[in-house]
Amino acid sequence: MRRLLLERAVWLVPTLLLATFGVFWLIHLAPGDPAITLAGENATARQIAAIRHELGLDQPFLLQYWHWLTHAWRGNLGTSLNTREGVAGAIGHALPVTLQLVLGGLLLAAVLGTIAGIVSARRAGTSTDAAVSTLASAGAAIPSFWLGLVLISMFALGTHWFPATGSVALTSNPGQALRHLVLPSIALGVSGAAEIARQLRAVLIDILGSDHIRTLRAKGLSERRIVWLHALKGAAVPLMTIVGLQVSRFLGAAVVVEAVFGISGIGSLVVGAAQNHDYPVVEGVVVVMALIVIVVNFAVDVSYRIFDPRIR
Amino acid sequence: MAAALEVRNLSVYFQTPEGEVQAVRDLSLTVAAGEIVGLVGESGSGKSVTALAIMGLLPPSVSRTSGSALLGDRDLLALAPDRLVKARGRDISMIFQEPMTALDPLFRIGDQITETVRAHHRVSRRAAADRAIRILTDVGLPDPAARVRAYPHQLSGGMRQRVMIAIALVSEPAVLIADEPTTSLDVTVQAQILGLLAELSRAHGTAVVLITHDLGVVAETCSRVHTMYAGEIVEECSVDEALLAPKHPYTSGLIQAIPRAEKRRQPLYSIPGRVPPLTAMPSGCRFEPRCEHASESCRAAQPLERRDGRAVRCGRHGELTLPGAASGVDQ
Ligand SMILES: Nc1ncnc2c1ncn2[C@@H]1O[C@H](COP(=O)(O)OP(=O)(O)O)[C@@H](O)[C@H]1O
Ligand code: SF4
Ligand SMILES: [Mg+2]
Repeated sequence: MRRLLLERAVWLVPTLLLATFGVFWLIHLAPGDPAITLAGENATARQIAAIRHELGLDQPFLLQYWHWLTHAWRGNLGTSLNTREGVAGAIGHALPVTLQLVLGGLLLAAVLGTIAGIVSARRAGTSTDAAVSTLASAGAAIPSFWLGLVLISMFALGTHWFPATGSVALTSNPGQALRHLVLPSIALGVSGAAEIARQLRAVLIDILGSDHIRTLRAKGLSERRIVWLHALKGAAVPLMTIVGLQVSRFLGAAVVVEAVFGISGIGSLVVGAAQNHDYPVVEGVVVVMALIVIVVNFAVDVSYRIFDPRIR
Repeated sequence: MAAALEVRNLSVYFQTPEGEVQAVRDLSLTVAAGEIVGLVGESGSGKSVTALAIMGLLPPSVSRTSGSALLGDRDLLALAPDRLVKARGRDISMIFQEPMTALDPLFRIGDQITETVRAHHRVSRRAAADRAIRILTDVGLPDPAARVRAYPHQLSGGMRQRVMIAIALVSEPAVLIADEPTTSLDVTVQAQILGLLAELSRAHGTAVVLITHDLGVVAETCSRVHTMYAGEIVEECSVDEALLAPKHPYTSGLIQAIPRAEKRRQPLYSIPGRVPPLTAMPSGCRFEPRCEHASESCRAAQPLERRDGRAVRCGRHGELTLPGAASGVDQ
C-alpha cells in the first residue's frame, strides 16, 4: 500500500507539469487580451500597457509560466486577473457544488448501471436483455445538455416537481439540496449508467459461465446469492475501474450540466475564466482536477486489493 | 442393496448452429449406497455431460434431457427448479476436474464451506464454522483451524481438491459424482485423493459415481464399471470382469491404454482414431470406424445386450476373445 501511494505520488509531478503547461500555452495562444478588457472601453494605449505590466503580461511566455509555477509550488495559486479574488478561495466556493453534482451523478450511474448490467447478464439473449441493451445505447448517445433541457421542461417547468435551476449545499439544507440535485444528476449520470451496464453485462456473462460459479450451483446455493454475492464480487475489480473512469468523465461533463442548470460550480468558474484569459483561475482548476483524478485512481487501486486477495 | 441413484434411459441433446445433436443416448446407470461405480471413456465420450445432466447443471437454453435420474423417490430430471437447488449439495453433490478453477478465488475456503452448510441447514454461524473445521479434518487438510482463513490460491492442487471434497460432502449427501477428480493431480496426490474418496464412501455410505478416462483409476477404486463411448454405454460389468475378460473391443482398448510400470519405457498405447463428432455419428456400431474386429454386420445398430449381470453393446462379442489385463494392473 505504501509503495502504491509512493508510485502515485511520483507520477503526480510530471502529470501536473504537463497539464498546467499545456493549459498555460493554450490560453496564451487564444486570441484576446485581458488587459484590454480590464482597462475598460475608453482606455488609452498607455493605460493598457500599464495594466499589462502590472499583471506581468508583458513578460516572455515561459517566464510567466515559471512565475506561476514557483508560486503554485509554494501553495500560492495567485489571484484572479478579473475579479482580484484569491484563486484558492474561488475554487473553494465552487468545488463543493461540483463535487456534490458529480457524486450524485456517480451514485445514479453506479446503482442504475449495476442493476441494468445484472438484469441483462442474467437474461442474456432474451428480449429483456435486448430491451436493456437498446436503452443503454440510447442512454450513451443522448447528449447531457439535451437531456438536461428535456428534464427541466418535463419535471421542473411542466410539473414543478423539481427546481429548474440553482443548487443548495448539502451541508446547509440536505432536503433542498437533494431536490436540486435530482435532475442535474440524472442529466450527468445517465450516460455513465449506460457505460457501466454495458461493460458489467459482458463481465458478468463471462463470470457466470465460469467453473467456480458451476461449483456454487452444484453445492445448492440460490441463484440470488450466486449473482449478487459471488459473481458481483468477481466483477468488482472491472466495475471499480469503470466507475473510476466515469469520475474523470463527469468532471468534464459537469461543465455542460452546470451551464444548463445554472449551477455556479467549477464548470462555470473555469468557462468564465477561460473566456477572459484569466490563467491563474484556469490553472488552479486544472491542478485541483488533476489531484482529484489521481486520488480517485488511487482509491480504485486500493479497492482492487480489498476485493481480490490475489492482488495483495 | 437399494439403489441410491438410478439413472434410466438418459438422453441429452444440444441445440447447436448446425441443428440439434445428441451427446448422450439412452444411458442407464445404478449406484448403491457405499458403492463406487466407474464411468470410463475417452475424452469427448459424454461423461461430463452425463454428470451435469443428472445434476441439472446443463445450460437450459441450449440443452434438453429425457429419461430419469431417481434419487430415492424423486426424479432429479423432473424436479421443480427450487427443489432441485435444495437437493444439490444436500442429497447429491459433484466435484470437478479442475481444483484450480472450481473454487471461488475471492472467498476464504472456510466461508465457501459454511455457506454450503447454511444453504441447507438452519444453523448458527458458529455451528457452521465448527462443521467446516470438522469436515476439513475428515478430508485430511492439515491444520484446518488455521486453513479456514486461507484463500484458494494459497493452497496446492491436492489441497484444493480436498477442499472441494469437503464442500461436496459437508451435508453428507447420499450420492457424489466425481468428474475426473484426480486427472490434473500428480500420481502420488492422485492415489491419496482416490484413497480418501474410498474411505469417505465406506465411512458414510456415500454412493459414488467416479468418472475418469483412465481404467487404471477404476481398477484401484471401483467395484463396477460402465464403459462409455460416443454418448452410449458400451459395456457394464464388475471391474474384475472388465479387466480380465472384457467383452467390448473398446473396453479392451482402454485396458491396453492403462499406463503400466513394467512398460514404462514403451510409448503409451492409445486406440487409433478419435471419438466421432456429434454431428457425424455412425448409424451402426459407433466404434466401427476404429474397431479392428469390425465386419459387415457391425454396420447395423448394436443394442445393449444384458446377460449374467453384465451388459455389452457388440454383436460380435460371442466370437471374439479380447485381451484383458493379463499381466495385471498396478494397484
Ligand atoms: N454446451 C454444449 N453444446 C454442444 N455440445 C456440447 C456442449 N457441452 C458438451 N458438448 C459436447 O458433448 C460431447 C461430450 O462432451 P463431454 O461430456 O465433456 O465429454 P467427456 O467428459 O467424456 O470428455 C462433446 O462432443 C462435446 O463437444
Ligand atoms: S459391433 Fe463390430 S465394430 Fe462394433 S465393437 Fe463390436 S466388433 Fe467392433
Ligand atoms: Mg469431462
